[in-house]
Amino acid sequence: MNDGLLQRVAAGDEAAVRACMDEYGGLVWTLARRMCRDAADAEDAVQEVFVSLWRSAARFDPSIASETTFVAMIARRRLIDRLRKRRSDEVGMPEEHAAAAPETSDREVSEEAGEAMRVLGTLGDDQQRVLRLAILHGLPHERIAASTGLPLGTVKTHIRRGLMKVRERLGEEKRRSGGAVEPVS
Amino acid sequence: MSGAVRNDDRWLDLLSQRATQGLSRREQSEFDMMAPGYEAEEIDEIELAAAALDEALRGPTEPLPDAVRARLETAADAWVAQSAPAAIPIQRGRSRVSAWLGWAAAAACLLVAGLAWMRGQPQAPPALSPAQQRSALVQTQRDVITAPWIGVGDLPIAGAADHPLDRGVTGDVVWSDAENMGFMRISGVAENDPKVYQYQLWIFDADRPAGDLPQFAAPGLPELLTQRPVDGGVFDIHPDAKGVAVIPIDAKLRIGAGTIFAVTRERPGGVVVSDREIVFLAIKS
Repeated sequence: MNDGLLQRVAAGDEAAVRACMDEYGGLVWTLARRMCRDAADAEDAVQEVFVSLWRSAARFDPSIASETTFVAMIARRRLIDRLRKRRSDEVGMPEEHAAAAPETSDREVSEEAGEAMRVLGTLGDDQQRVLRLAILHGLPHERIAASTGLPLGTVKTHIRRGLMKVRERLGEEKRRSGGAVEPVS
Repeated sequence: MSGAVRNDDRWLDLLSQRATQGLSRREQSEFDMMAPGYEAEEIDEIELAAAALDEALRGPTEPLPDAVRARLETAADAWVAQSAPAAIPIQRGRSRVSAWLGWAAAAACLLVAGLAWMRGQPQAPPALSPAQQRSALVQTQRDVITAPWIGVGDLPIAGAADHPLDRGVTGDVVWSDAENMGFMRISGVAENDPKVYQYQLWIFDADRPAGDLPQFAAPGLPELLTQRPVDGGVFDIHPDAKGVAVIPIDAKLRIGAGTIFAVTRERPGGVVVSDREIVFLAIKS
């Protein structure tokens, strides 16, 4: 894990700009492949995301989030913008694929991801399902409602409350740890 | 009190939607109006939560393909080349950077680097003029639109006449929605004394709703002009030796689909709401 990588990018450190690609290239590519129409679109998106990331590097605050989570936030923001612009709702993975994606593995995840999983485990089945479809699949809320049979208002409430619970848990952990965010296995 | 709670609920709805499926035009307008009341950190928190959930739910990451990596290397080289050139030693072991020190390659590098720099910095680096930055944007961004200026006298409305400050405006706007960046190239417009008046750009965004300002509707005019436009920045016109002024656009909000660009005459410092004394404008075809 590269400590202070984004801060070094913000300072104009050339080695850090390249290390950023090494460290987060796979993450950004994985998100782009999932949220873009095809590989060519994903390639364009990856470049846009990294330019956004280098531009946003000075905004990163390690007391608020880990680098991995910050990078994922920047990537998701850019990718959702692209998705919205294209007004396409067919790029989400079929639900069968999502079921195959492991929720836990031996891979190292950020502390935030660990806390997010713990929050997810406390939620009801419907709410978990809705959040997976919204976050992992990027499905529009109307599609989620149609897929689950839940009213649209319920879908929106599940998403909002679920994200708020994760936000609150992350805030509690941040206060407990004094602002330091460390990765966990 | 209950009104404040409803507003917060709506704010959270907008944040949640933004973090998962993005916002519609109307929702984006609503978000933009509410956002100034919150700190940037508060705005990011829900998106960070979504990012944390995303990491928790997704499987292992795929490796970055070599071809994509190579493309990123080029972008990174441009980014590095323009960032703090005095602080970063020119000599490097990387042959690509060394090759850029050649005259022709250096010229191309500056154009691409200029764009990368512009994305990250509030002002342009001393090495790149606005005209060079404009060239960099046009050459590197696929979504750039170019719209020529027209005087208000050329609008298809009864009694239309050119503004006195329009001495035969020529030039154009280039604009990239993806980068939220653009430039105006202007000639044939009176040079101003900024202590007396300034010019101000207004951007009409097809992704935002129209109709908030119906008093600006008129037969023959685009309905989009009844929109509450986005401030594109206050500027002065001081043409160069060729009589051309190239001016960066300073959009105060994120533009989804820049469509009409109108320049008004305003008091020094500009205004929040314009009386629409339009001097000239450009309409995306």
